Amino acid sequence: MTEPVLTVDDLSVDYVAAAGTFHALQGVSFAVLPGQVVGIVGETGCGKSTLAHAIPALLPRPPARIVSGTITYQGIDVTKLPAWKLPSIRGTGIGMIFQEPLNSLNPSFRIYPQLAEAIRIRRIRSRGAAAGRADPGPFDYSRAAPSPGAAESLARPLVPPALVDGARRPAGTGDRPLRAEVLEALRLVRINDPETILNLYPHELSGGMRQRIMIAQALAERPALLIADEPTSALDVTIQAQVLTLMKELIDEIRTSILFISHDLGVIAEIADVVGVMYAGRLVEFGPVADVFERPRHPYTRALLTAAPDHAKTDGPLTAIPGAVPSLARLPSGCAFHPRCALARERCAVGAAPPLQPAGATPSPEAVAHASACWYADEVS
Amino acid sequence: MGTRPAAESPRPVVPPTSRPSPWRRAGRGARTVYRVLRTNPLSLAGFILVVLLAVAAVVIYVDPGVLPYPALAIFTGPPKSAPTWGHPFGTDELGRDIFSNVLAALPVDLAIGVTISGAALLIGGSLGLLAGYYNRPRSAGAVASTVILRLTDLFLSFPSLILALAFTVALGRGVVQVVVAVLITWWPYYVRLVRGEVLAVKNQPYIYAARAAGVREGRIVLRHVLRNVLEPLVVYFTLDIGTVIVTFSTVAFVTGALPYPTAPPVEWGSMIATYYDVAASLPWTVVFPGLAILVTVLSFSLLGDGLRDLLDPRSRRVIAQTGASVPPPTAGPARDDRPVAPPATGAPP
Amino acid sequence: MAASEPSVPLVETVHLRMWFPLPRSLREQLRHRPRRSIHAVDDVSLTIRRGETLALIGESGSGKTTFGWVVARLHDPTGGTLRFDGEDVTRLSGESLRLWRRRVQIVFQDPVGSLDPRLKVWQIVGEPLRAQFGERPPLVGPAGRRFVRRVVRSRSVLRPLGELWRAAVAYMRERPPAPPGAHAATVREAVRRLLPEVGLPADCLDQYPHEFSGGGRQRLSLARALIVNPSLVVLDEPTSALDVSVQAQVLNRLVELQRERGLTYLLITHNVAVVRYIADRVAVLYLGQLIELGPAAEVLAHPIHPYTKALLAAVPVPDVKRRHTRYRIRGDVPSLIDPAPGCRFAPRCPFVEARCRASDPPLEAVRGSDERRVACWRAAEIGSVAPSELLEMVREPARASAP
Repeated sequence: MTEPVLTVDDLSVDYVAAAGTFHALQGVSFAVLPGQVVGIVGETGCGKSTLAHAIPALLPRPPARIVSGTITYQGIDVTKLPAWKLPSIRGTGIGMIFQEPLNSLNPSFRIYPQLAEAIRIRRIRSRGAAAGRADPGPFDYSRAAPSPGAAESLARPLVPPALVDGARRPAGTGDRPLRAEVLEALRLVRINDPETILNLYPHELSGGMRQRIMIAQALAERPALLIADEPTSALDVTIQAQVLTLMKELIDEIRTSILFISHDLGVIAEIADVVGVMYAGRLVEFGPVADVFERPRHPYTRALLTAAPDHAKTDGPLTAIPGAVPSLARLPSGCAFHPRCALARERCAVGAAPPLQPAGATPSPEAVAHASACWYADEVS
Repeated sequence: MGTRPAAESPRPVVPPTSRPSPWRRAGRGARTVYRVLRTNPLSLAGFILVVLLAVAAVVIYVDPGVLPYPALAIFTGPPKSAPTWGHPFGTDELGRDIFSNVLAALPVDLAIGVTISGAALLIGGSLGLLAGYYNRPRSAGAVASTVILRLTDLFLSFPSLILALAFTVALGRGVVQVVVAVLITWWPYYVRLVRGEVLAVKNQPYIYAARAAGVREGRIVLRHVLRNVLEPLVVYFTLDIGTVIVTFSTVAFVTGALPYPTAPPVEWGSMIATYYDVAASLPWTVVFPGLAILVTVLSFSLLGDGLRDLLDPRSRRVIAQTGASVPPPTAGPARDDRPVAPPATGAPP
Repeated sequence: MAASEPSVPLVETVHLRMWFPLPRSLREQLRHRPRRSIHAVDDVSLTIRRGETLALIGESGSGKTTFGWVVARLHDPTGGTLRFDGEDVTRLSGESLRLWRRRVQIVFQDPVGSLDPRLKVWQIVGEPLRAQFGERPPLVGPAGRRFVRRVVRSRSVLRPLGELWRAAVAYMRERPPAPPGAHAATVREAVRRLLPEVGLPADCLDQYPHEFSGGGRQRLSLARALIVNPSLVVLDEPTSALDVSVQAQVLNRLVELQRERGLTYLLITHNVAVVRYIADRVAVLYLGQLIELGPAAEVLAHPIHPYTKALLAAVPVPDVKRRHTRYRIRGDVPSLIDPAPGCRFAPRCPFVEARCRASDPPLEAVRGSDERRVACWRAAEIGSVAPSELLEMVREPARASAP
């Protein structure tokens, strides 16, 4: 049995705001195996972005509050990790790609220093690990806490962007191996003319190009887990297809585990091995992508698949899901989907929400079971 | 919601929906105001203080007889008396009652604050609206707005306090002269503020939506632009009243343009100016007018912060429903670095 | 509404052009460089027939939104002609433009920004009604003439303000009564009747837009467009900000409303799936130019232009078989500023030839179909290539199980 890279167990996150308490995540559990691409799909306000930010401990606390559960990344519980150790988790451990690449790249630096920073950090970390002195990354967490005052210095980025070569000097006159690595990182994401790109500012690039730089930056730190939060949603369709193709090729090349979050079923179907469907803060279905898309076991998944106007179906009204996504502050009792569900019966409206249960016996210990949180999962397909 | 929830039943025959009566609406509005203010005790304090000050000012203006002693009356008690029960704020070297004079100055100072801010709001606000909204390239509006903006820059390029002092000296002594002098330096801030807000609002999609609906430009300006600009403007105006009083007092203090203590009107800044020489031996003569300025300015600032929440329908609704306070959705208007030297403690600027 | 010949298309654009001039830098001015401009819409000629839905598809920067805005006369076109109901409205302005607007309404993309946050539902939805049927013409009738005379005659320097005031008061008293559309009760009643038709409860007249969900706001937008009974509704990405489940509700409502009211839609979207469901004909735009036009079913089933093929191939569909494919289009969208001659898709086109780079292909009829037009030099040769051929199949090892 392979050890999962990431295990999320019974994670519940609340947002405490003036208008009430929003239950953004409730009892979410799943695992990401090495080299696996896990897709999380859901509509606006289903908690998928909260999940993406909770894993590298990026949630602003307050207003967010982790009510229960653990996020185990390579044996460490991220939720219990003190603030000064978080930088060692992020970047080299868990990389992130965000939705809007223009906001995620620093607009006042050229591309070179931003990529070089990521590579420098990786180098410093790996060198430290070899010499056995500095922080060897997330693998060794049993060391005694450093002296007081070190916390702040550790929480800061190791190399301020302004000090990285190229920020003041023309790109790459300093550290030649570093420059070579930056060029390599750009070539990895299929940028044809990396030498020119290095000296440009983020706003001078197109959306697709910026997203590639973001991917290059995230991958330059060689993360064990990459979290991609709607990485292609801001892009045009043809550019999105190009970026998705790039990501598919990269998955084959570097074999990083990826948690891919999207609202688009089509994108998830193309890229994920395992897919989790979220609704109102809960994981309602989880399983291998082919099973979930071809034999959905939750009414919400099925409704989503039929509501998307696609294929050659042109006549007759679309099968809409009646009603709207409930507010996370006022969730219905029982299964949160029951007011909109065609299969709903009395049992669905009362008591606790149905648990996420695998269907039948798991075929083999290696495979991911197809689980669904519906009392009547067998009637869905 | 199905595809047509209400349309399936035949349209119910109900009388045309009428709006709630004005009294009902006023009552509901007052309750909302109270609910919003209750969530922020400081704003409530500011609101109560401003109401108290305004009521007191009206009473004193209507019937000066409510003052313990007439304003500027000499030998109302022993000269140079420290605060006592008979003279809570003490007396000066001619036995004038400081308490009565501080109170007598209240309507004057409030009126000055509201007049200058109000006039600046009207002048600067309308010019700012013009400069912000009508600036399509190569049109008459663009020429007008360029002229307005360059004029504004001209005024803003001088330190406003120095400019106000210079105008006071040029115009001569008297309340009206000082008011005009401060007003001359005051309106450009409103031009800048309003123009900035208008520029942000005029490209909002709902402005295009109104235009596509065929709404006249003048009506778009009044109904959509002005209404959305009003909130920061009212907040700024409220905060500004305090600043105006301080500036007015400063100008009165530095130039000695007001004739206190020989003739009315009594005004806090000129009181401090007059007693400045004796501040070391009779500290109460300057401390209490200074405190009066402080309290007035503070109440208006607190009220201004509360208004910010109150005027936004989004936060208003949330607060009214939950009774909790929310962080203000928009950051307040950035305050300009106005050179203000409050003479609150009587120290020379 | 002027009922004219059914054969006359509702909207006809002839070489419609919308260029946005760029400001010249000081350096360019000193060197007398010509002013550059963004060619958002470049020579687009098409027609919208009565009662049909014409979809404009394209990606960001294709000029589809600009075209829609020009048709609704929110932009003044740089060149070309716009005919509405056979009548040239390209240069319509002032009061006649304002009153023409009741015939064309627009639903904006942004359901949050397009509703004034400070107005209530009945004010927002009733606004076009009030503007179109509730405005008094300014200074008309004997009262207006009297007012103008008094203002002109009061030449005194000292008394103009007082005189002006008195004249204004007299005018307010004597002017003609306001038309019914100006009365709040009339507007509220009209809004109350309309709201159920777009799927909203009739008793939300006094709510604010922020109390609605995204779908609810888009319904409000739709109600605002419909309240003046327009002939043409420009739908500018009406569902792109909505979730899939809500999107289906809104689309169904749009189709029903079109059937009930005989509306004509100009649907602007980047979502091919939406087009497939709602449109009769489709026009594909790329970088400001019309590159393909035809019945929606035909164009989507058998696209001819390589860009249309690329667009269709790129649309992600929830189909697990696509996992093993790679997209073959490379390169970025070129700039819209003073584009070079030649087909604008040439830099990304997998079928490009020398002549594609040399000159613009004209929009020509397709052999075998009198409805379809396409602008491609190699239309005849590559027309039969299926979009799926732009996806190359890759056999990949099963990744999920192997660590």
